[in-house]
Amino acid sequence: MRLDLGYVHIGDVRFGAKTSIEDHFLSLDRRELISLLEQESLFERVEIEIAHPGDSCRIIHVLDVLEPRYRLTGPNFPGALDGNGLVGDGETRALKNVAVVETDQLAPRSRSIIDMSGPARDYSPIANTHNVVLLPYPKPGVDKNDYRLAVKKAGLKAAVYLAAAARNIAPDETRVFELPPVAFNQGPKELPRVAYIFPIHSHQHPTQQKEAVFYGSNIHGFMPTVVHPNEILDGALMFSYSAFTWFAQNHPVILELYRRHNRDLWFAGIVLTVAPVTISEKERNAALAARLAKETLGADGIIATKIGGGAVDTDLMMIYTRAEEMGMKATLVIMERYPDTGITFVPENVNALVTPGLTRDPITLPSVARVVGGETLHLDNSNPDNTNPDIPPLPANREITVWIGDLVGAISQVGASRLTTYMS
Amino acid sequence: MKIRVVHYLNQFFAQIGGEEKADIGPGFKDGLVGPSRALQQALGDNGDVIATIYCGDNYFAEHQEQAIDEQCARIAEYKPDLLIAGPAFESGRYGIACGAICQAAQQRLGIAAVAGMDEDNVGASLHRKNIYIVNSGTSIVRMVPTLQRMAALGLKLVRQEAIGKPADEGYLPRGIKRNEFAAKPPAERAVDMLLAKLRGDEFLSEIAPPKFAGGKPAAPLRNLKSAVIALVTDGGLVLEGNPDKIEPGRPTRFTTIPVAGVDSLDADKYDAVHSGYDTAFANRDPNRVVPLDTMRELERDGVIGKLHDFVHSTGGAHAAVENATLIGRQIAERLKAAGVSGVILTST
Amino acid sequence: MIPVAREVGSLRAIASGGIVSPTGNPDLPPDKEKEFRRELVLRALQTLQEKV
Repeated sequence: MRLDLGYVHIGDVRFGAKTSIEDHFLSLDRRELISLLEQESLFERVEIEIAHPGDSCRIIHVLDVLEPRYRLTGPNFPGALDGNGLVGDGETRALKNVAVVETDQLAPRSRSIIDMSGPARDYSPIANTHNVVLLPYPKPGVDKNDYRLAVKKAGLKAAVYLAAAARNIAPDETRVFELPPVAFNQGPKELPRVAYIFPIHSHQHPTQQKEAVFYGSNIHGFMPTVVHPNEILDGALMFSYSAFTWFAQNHPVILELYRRHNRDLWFAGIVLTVAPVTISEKERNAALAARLAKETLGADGIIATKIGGGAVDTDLMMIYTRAEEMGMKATLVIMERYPDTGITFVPENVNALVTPGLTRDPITLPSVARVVGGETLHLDNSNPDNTNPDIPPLPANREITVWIGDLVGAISQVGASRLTTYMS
Repeated sequence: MKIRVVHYLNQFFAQIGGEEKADIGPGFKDGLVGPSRALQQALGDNGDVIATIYCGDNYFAEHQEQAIDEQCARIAEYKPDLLIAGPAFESGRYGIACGAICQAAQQRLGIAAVAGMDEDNVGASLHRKNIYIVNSGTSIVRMVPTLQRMAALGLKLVRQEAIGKPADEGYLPRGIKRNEFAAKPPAERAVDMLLAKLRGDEFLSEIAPPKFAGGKPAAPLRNLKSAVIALVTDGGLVLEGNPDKIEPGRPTRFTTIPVAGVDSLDADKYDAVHSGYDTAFANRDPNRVVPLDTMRELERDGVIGKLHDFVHSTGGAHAAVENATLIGRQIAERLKAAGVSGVILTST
Repeated sequence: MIPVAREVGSLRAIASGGIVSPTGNPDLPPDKEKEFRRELVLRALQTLQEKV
């Protein structure tokens, strides 16, 4: 199956009379996009702001981030936005240097921040894109969870709306993603076959009934399964929490395996799984995911990433152990959270870990001229470790000391970051 | 600007005497003595060693609090910018003294301080988290290079310059992880690591296994029928409204919930506060997190002697190991004092 | 979280009803859930009496 992902490079985004792209300049009809998003019955009204790289601007209460994408032959985000269908083939347009940023107006405790200037910019690609920020204000009395799903859907609508402006424009750059069916092509014998085992959710925070995670499904009871990597890149997956959907569309491990495919490895494919809540289900999923990598994809080695909280360290270690018992080699990518121990535990047999960074590492961000997405942060400026529910709200435009993990896109559990860690 | 430096030595390096002089109390020598000459050389024009202070190793060990007070008072008189202590190499009593005095100078007087000793010195395990300790190794042959490292690090601290990594500056890792920018992104490093593993090449895992100082398990409980059993949880059970303000994550304290006369946990009297799991089920029936109803029945049926009158609770999400250990110890002390002999701890 | 418990030295650990309901099972009807809880607690009490 082959996906042609055509990037139109965008140099600037401004509000204008009509939504169009000309000479790498995206003009955005604010009224039209607002009308589209205000169709959602749970919203009282929607505002849209634009933040440019280099602006003295802080975006707060970020819920999710998306790259604008438009599939020329449809469907877009099937199951979640459009009706049923499949993705990962054909031609898709993407806007480079633009992101849709959803803010949650019912999450005052959220610490997800994007600073468009200052030291934060070095850490995240999302601080360097032209960000179209959605501010959907809920009607009074709306259920918080239903509202959250509505915001996520609004993000999808906006992402498609923006990229649709590129539908008749020749891409500046096309990336081709092609992998044959496993049955027909095992690759040259000298290239090791590498599979990626990908937990997409941890049910310690169960998805809502109507939540769309994978092809519109709420993935309750999801069993490990093989899918084509293009489906992840092309809109089949929306993270529920714990990672930003941008990093599914731009999945660092999938992109890296594609980059080296048929060079120093053969990309054997991917196995999706979830982290369940009981130990016996964790054991079952880990074993089955490893089995699929070995016996269906024929992998010599696997990489696995994590999603969710400390509980999922257990799932990862199980995947590693089962994989190696089956005769494959394994390497894990695990985000560190604790300045003292890094992660929860490492059994003796696990000797190959890569860190995308430590979340609880403080960074001081300068005061800013403009805040988008809210006015205050739930933050103890003298101690970012303070999670006391009674912390008074802090004006968000000040100089603040937060965790590097609070910066959107700085450290992604699926392995996106520019970092490593050391013991000081 | 030249900084003012005080050097702490023990009785031997201060050239008072050997083991027979280890009981000597605090003293000082204006100017340079023994290793403080090498320290002055290491500082060069950047600083002056204005005094050498000392204390006998035994005196310190036997009068620790007093000795620290005395040394701090003496240091304060000199108004130095920097305290250098040791290096103590393998000498445990000396190492402990260096560590304690540096820590006190830092905390009480706000003075930059650097100690030196071997990484296995007991003083290092006690103090490395709180002060910079340059690794001297065990051999006195390393005196001069160690003092050079100590001086360089001390100067950086005084000038508030960024301190580099342990390997670069020569100090013992203090157990605090930090981020740094990497030459290659994590996904690329993961693939590199896997390919190295497949080839059978050497590679280095990026996260060291955390070490926990586990305790010895208690002996099996005898006589359940007469035992007092307590319920403890890390699921974040709290009284409705969370009056003790238990944190949803990174806990620093626990709450004590009275359950005498309570047969079952009512949904409207209790809450679960915890950022690491969806508390909806626990909120609808708190017995799903702390099995109070069952324990009360078992008490009535005579299976256990008595259910302890208090449930101890905290939230376990992202607990720092130090805090978790402290909370556990505090709860255990209370339970022991109350005659509890067995605990069921429920964990989410 | 049994592997984690073992790793830190807590050897008396038995499998719970899951992360979101350690001493419960919301999928069961209430009377069966209480039975489940009783069996789990009895097993825990048994473990207290065993040597590790």
